[in-house]
Parts: sequence; C-alpha cells; structure tokens
Amino acid sequence: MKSLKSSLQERIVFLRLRSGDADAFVFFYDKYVKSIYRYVLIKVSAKEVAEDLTQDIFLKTWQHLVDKKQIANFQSFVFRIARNTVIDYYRQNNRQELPLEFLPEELEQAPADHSHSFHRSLDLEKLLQDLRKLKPEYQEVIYLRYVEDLSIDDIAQIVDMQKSAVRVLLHRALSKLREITKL
Amino acid sequence: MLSHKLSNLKNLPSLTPDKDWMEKTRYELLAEISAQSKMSRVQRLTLSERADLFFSTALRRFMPSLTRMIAAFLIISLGSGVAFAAQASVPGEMLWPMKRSMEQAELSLTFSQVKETEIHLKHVSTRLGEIDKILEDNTLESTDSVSKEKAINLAVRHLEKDVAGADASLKIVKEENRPSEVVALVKKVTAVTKEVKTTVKEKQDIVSDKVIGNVLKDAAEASKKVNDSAVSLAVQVHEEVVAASNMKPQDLAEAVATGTVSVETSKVDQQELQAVKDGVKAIVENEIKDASLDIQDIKIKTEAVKAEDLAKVKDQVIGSEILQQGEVEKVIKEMLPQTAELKLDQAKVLLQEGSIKDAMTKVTETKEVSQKAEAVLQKLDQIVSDSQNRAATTGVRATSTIPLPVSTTTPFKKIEASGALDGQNLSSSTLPLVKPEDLIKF
Repeated sequence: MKSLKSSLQERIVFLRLRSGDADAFVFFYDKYVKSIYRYVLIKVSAKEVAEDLTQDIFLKTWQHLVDKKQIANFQSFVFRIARNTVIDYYRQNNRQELPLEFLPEELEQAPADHSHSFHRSLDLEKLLQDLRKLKPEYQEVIYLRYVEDLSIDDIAQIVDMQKSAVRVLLHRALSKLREITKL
Repeated sequence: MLSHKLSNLKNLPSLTPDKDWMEKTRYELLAEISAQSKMSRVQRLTLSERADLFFSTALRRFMPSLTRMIAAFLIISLGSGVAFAAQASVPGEMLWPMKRSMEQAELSLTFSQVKETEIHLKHVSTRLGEIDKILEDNTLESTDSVSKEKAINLAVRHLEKDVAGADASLKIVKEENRPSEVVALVKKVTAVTKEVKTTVKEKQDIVSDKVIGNVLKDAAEASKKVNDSAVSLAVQVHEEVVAASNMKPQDLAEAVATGTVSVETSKVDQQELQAVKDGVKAIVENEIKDASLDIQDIKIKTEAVKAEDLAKVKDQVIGSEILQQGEVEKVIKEMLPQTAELKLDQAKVLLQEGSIKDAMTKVTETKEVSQKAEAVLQKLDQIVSDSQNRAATTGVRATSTIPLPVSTTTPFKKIEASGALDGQNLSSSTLPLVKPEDLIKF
C-alpha cells in the first residue's frame, strides 16, 4: 500500500511534470524504471531488447506529456505505454520468440557458496519460467497484480478492460499458473 | 504462498536492470528531453492545475506536522497511562524516576512562590506515603532487606530535598509576598513537618532494622530543622511587622529605602497586623505544645531507665567511653520542672504578654535540652541492647549477630537551617558511634 504522503508527493511531481519539469521526469524515471524494465523483460526475455524498449517507453511517455495528452495516473499511464510498446515490438518482429536458453546460463554463473539464497533464486527462476509459459494476457495480469502490487482498477486501465473482466482473467491466470507449477 | 513468491520476483537479480544502464539511460533521456523542450514550448498548466499544485504543495508541508501531531498525541496518551501508573510507584521501582521528574515539571510550571512552597509540601506528603508503603510491603521483608533499605534511603533523601525546597521557597515568599501570606504558609509548613515527625516516630517504633531506623532519624532531623527555620521566619516577620507599625511614616520610608524593611511589610494595615500577630502566636503556641510533648516523652523514658542498666553502663569500658554516667543523671535532672518545664512555662507567659520573639527563644532552648536528652537516652538504649547481644553470643564468637555499624550508611546531607538556628549542631551527631571491632574485643 502506498502511503498517503508518498502518493501526495507523486501527485505534486506529476503536476510539475505536466508543466514540463525535467527534474520531475527524473523522479518518475527513478521510481518506475525497475518496474518497467521487469515488465518488459518478462515479456521479451532478452536483456538488450528490454533495455532498449524501456528507454523507448520513457521517451514516449515524455512526448505524450508534452503533446498535452491528459493523464490521470502516471503509473497506469507508463505501464500502458509499456504494454503498447511491447505489442508494437512483437508486431514488428513478427512474434519472434527469443531463446530461453540464456536464463539457465545466468543461473550457472550464480555463486554457489550462498546455497540458501541460491536455492531460493533457483526457485524463483523456476517460477519465472513457469510464468513465461502462460499466455501473454495471463502473464501480464499476474505480473501487474502480484509483482507490482497494482490495484484491479489500475490494471483495468492498463490493459484496457472492464474491472470484472480483469478479475476473471486474473483468476484464470492464477489457477493456470498453479497447475503449471505443480507439474 | 504463490502470490508471495510472485511478489518476490521483484528481487530476482536476473529481472533487475543494470545500475550502469539505468544511469546511462537517465542521462540520455534528460539530454533528449532538454533538447525537445528547447524546440517546443512546454504547455502551461491550466488554472485548475496550478491551484491543485499549490494546494498539494501546501498540504504536503502540513503533512509531516500532521503525522507529528498524531505521534505527539500518541506519546501523550501513552505517557499519561504510564504517568498514571508512575503515581503509584515507590522509590526503587522502575517508574519512580518518572514520577519524580513529573513532580519537577509540576514545580517548573508554577510561577508563584506561594504555590511552589505548597507543591513542595505536597511532595513531602507523597514521600511520607511512599515510606509508609515501603515499610508495609512485607513481600520485601526477609529476602530483600537491602533493597528495602535502599528504597527507604532514596525516599528519605528526596523527602529531605522536598522539605529543603519548601524551606527555600518559603524564604523567597517572605521577600516577595504579604506578611499574612507568609504566616499562613509557615503554618502549613509546620503542619507538614509535624506530620513528618509523627510518622517517622511511628515508623521508628515498628522498624527493628537499625539502618532504616537511622535513616528515618535523619528524615526527622531534616524536617525538624525546616520546622524551626520556618517558625523563626514567622517570628521574624512578626517582629518586622510590629516594628514597621510602630514607626513614623518618615522613618518607615527610610527603612524601606535602606532595605531593612521590605516593601510589602511597609504596607501592612492594622487588620493585617492583627492577623499576623494571631498567626504567629498560634504557631508559637503549637511549638510550645510540641516541646512539652517532647518533654513528657523523655520523662517517661528516663523513668524507664532501670538502675541496673545504669550500673551495667558504669561497669563497662566502652560504655563509659560513649556515655558518662553523669550525663544520664544530668538528663534526668534537666527534665525536672525547674529546668526544661520551667522554661516552657516562661515561654507561655511571654507569649501571653506578646513578646513572641522571647517566647520562641525559650522554646528553642527547651527543645535543645530535650534533643540532647533524647540522644543520650538513645545511646543508653543502644549500649544496653549491645551488651545483651554480647551476652547472648559469648563463646560462640559469632560476629554476624552484631548489628551493622551505623557508619556504613552514607550520611545524609544536612539541610541548612536558616534564621536564628543557623549552624546549630545536633547533639546526637557529636556522639561517637559504637564500632563492631570494639565489641569483638570483649
């Protein structure tokens, strides 16, 4: 849960951003760059692509702001742009799937002495792989709801659906993920 | 479980961007943005947006103080709960220092010296209550007599402080306030010091522990000194008032100018003069009553001193070191009507005649005599009980039954008494103490 104070701070910076304040933009960049990067990386599975797309997403956000587009909530706005950007990327590359093999490679590089954290991160990598096996819509809602802790309301705005539809989607996605993880 | 795991994905290193990349991208984005905003003028905020920005900023300024307010409220409400509990604490307990500091706060919040004196007196009664509580607390009895001693010690030390505080603020009251107020306050002070005296006496009778007994004696002495100083202050006020009322207006003005008579005293009218006279008279009467009670007490004690005990004392070397037999006899002699009681009778007559100062001098003299007598009697008591102890332990060579030497307790800071009694030494403190080594020799 976001505290009242931090949401108020965000509101102030957001209004500054609307007036073209570059510092305000840096504030939002610092706050959301990790989330956006993760969101993109889960979808595209390649580090370099995720980096490029993330930079793209922030630049697009700025341009939207400058173009006098009305934005109610920066967070859902930036996720929505991220979503569209990823969709565009797949469209351009004709749904070219990136190799998943590089993930195990990274795992091997992980230090062996931290056995506990190593096992834990191994566990999480497994979960990430399972998540990636889901349909893109499922991946998206699960990521937004459980990793980013967004509200159903915000998710509905990002994926451009009714709230009830998001709930149903989320429910189905979660049961599917459970099914996969048990396998 | 699954949702928890999913939220942990946030911390997965493979899903976290490079720090260098983040820095680089931020820099690139900023460069891009500033280039763009130079080209196209950035939109201006609408009026409503500007208002929103202003109010949000203002609200944010207010925010921290709001949380602070809530925090302060919590601390206060929590604090008052603890404070309430602290009120019931006694020295040695964890909350007691808090109670004490709250009392200090109470003092610092008062601006009138009269009030301050009254608060000091209130604290004196609190201390007495605490001493009562500690002594009555039987759970400490056998197992924790040391901590009990400590607690009593602490309570008495603070009692002395409170009494001294009352004394000090009373003196300031005398300089600043009307004589009738001073006299009224002195009455209150003497009432409290009498209370201390009687309470301590009661406790001394119950308490068998020597150390605690000595501590209590210190308390009694301290309050007695303050009592004397307060009474002498009242007498002094009376003298000044009477003198001022007898002066011609011209002389009075001069006296005020030179500082021999305070401004407040110079304004005294007939009505107040009478009030002061009555008040001081009542105080001195009380003192006389008190002194005569003391004498009665000592008389009873002297009669109780058995001839065999006296003989015992005579026989013993240490006994004679501490107490000359003649001294006891002297005590008995002084308690005869022609000495102490005669003085008191004189004091009564003097009081009736209106010369309060002389009456008070007589009372003080009587008190000195009874003090000396009491000290001598106590020593006698001690020697008798010591010799009994020794008789009981001869052959066993057990030193443990010998009571702790009095000198192991830290001596209390004596409260400086003011006025006519300045520097007056109590006779008991001049007497040497019995050392256990001396006792073992036998």
